[in-house]
Amino acid sequence: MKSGKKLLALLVISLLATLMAGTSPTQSQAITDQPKLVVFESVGSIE
Amino acid sequence: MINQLAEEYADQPVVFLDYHYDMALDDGIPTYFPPEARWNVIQASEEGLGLTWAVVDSGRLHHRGAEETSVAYETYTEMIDDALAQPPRAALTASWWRWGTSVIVVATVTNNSDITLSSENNAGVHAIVKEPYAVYDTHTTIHPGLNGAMAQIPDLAPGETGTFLIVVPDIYPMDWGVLELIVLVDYQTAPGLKYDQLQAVIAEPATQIVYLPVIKGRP
Repeated sequence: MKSGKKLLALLVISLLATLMAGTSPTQSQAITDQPKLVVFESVGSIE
Repeated sequence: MINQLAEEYADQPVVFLDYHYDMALDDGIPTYFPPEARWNVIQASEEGLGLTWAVVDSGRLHHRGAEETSVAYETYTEMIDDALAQPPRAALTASWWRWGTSVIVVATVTNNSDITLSSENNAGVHAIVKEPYAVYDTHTTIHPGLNGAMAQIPDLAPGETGTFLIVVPDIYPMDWGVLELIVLVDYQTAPGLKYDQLQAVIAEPATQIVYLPVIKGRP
């Protein structure tokens, strides 16, 4: 049981590490002055 | 009208998303299939919400869908302007890449609010796939949201940062090259009440090839 949990944790950590290492370096840009982005969502509204 | 609004707000940080609404059925009864994760959030805005609606900030402000253009224009611009005036309460970055007919998103959230984001307030990071300017019979604007998915935030206290993985399945666009990924963070303000949104961002396409690890376990 313990080895199963270890394997699961290893899998999650490995997956996240791989994903983060492989993503675009542009995501590390400064975010302190990030403006609010408004998302307007609709269904079936007047086009 | 929403297409017109999108043009008018083109130089401001506003994204328009229009979900599935299909009138092309034999029985004449429209069907509407917003992404399930978004619908779970948006329907909390008002009991009985359905068929047509418009929201900003995950339902902090909403309208059941104006039937007259003048009403829609006035109401929706008020909603958008109000949302623009709200300060962001999270810092958010995100990257995405294609995986077959799915999209994988990695988002990093710093909680700058005074609220702990958790499963208790149904906090989540949502990713929504948009195909700008694509014309579909199933959507009423040229800002179709094709599908979406979410990752729950189990526990993120004020000041803490967390990274989340979201897989959006079943993406069949006309052109993969034009897709946009909108990522947002929201939570439910109180049980049974509407949601509010802390921040949103348009995710950057990943620029490197990503290899997912394969670990084989014993049966």
